[in-house]
Amino acid sequence: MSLWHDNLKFVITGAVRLLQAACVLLFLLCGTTHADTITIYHFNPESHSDRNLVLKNTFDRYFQANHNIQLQPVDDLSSFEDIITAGNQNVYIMSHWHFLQLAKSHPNLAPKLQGTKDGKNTYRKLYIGKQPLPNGRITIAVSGAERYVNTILKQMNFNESQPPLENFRLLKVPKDIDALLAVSFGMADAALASDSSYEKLSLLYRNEYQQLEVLGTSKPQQRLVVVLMNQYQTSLQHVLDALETMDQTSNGKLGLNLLGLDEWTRLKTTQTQGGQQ
Amino acid sequence: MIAVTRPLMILIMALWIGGCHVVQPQTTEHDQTNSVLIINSDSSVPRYEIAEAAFLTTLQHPNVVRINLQDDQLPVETVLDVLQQQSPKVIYCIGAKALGAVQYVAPDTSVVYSSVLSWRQFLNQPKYYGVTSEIATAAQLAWFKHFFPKMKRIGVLYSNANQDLVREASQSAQQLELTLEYEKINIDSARTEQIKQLLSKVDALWILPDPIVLESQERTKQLFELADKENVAVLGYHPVFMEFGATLSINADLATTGRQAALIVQSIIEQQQQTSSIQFPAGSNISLNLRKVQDYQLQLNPEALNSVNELQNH
Repeated sequence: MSLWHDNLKFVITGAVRLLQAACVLLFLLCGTTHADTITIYHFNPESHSDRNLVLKNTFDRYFQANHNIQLQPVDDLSSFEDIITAGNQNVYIMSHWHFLQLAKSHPNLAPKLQGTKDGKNTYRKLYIGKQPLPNGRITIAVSGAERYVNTILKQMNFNESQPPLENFRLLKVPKDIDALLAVSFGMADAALASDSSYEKLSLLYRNEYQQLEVLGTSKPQQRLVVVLMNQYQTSLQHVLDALETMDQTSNGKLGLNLLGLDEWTRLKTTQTQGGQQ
Repeated sequence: MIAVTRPLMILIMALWIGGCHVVQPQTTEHDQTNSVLIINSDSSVPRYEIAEAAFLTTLQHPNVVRINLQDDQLPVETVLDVLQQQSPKVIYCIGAKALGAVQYVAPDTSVVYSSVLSWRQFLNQPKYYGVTSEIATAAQLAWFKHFFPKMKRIGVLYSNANQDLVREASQSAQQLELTLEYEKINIDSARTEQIKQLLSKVDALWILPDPIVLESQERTKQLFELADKENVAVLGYHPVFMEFGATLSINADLATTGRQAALIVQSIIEQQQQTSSIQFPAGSNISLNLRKVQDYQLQLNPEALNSVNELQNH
């Protein structure tokens, strides 16, 4: 009986995968799911993808009120890059780190809006541990895609006392606070987390916070950007407007908060060239 | 008739061979002693399947043997059959049925387990390492405070089984500047009165995995109804409580649990010393009911919203 179930499951899984592939193809061919509906694709390698449903529901609820726009979070980096490469009339919400990576191969791609939190458009990632770190291979709790995490760790300014990071394994967790709590409760030796998450822990759990030590600091990381192909600027202006006014309604604010932002701010023309600020 | 049944039999045989319970890779003599055996209590259960998939992705081990005990009436025999052919370095058990099947048949092999509610009974068993099913109580309390900073008094119902847990939680609550109000429930106690009394003095009611408090679905439903009547938010540890009417639930992220198990297996293979025989889940999956937040006039920290995985009734 179980063999039959296993085989049936295999056949169903195959069929589902084929259907998924067909859907992605359809997205790539059509660019939008409906003739008049503009799709905003979202992928953030800095955070976990298991929040896609809540993001879609909340953003769509905001857009449904006055706009013909939908959010389509994407599960993985390569599918997201495939959609961008197709070059259709879409809008993308992505990490600034990812945008810089894509800018070289997609010169028409330009950031138009940037997320801010507490009036700032940057944050830092901190490498935090509970001293003394064990000898041998250590476990670092991280949220986000491995490629992104490895880049950040390579570019990090470590304290003088911190031995070079050579022998480590990554424990992927959904959120930065999870990563910090993982160190506090002994599931990891160190964590990579944003400065704001570390600050949250300080307010929340003074005892645990006092036992943690910042062992390294990243360069300032730019917050999320809203990106589109320059040639679609005019036809997609209404989408940028809808995003820019999100902070004026409760549903819009909820969507922004889910992304960890307060608002979108317009980038000046000089800032949109190549994304360097 | 025979002409019809013969191809059918061949097809069934082919499917049987292709979809066999045990996925047995080609191994060398040396490889067999370094294999990792995964025993899944039931691969059709999503929470088990998620843990197994994340385990495999993280482990990246070339020699993995898998057993699915779904519908298996003789799980011990199935495991013994595999152990006669393989000498795994480590066994990863997902769920209680899997762990029960290896408990007495592989005394010299390291065992890593997850999704086992009765994990406490394996705490002192040599070579057994596990990941619990619930987020650490101290971490749950930290999340509660993060979402609702104004919340000060949290009520908890418990029985004898959770006496130590409540004592530990009370200390953690103090560190978070929370007050834990607790009420012990016995099987024959005047339960409804006790619950009402507790609800009258707290800002929220925290549910623990307690066999007496959550004795039956009916009792659990009654508990949630009483809390709702008193406008007291219920805070849970499993998504199922959202269906009963919880305001917030801090659940273990199942994929992270599988990844943790994979890292424990890796460190055993690399002969690293284990600092603890048990780990709490390092990843959270958070459900929030916004309607309840409004109904109970709770002050929600907007900063916490970027941690929410499931938002209900907004």
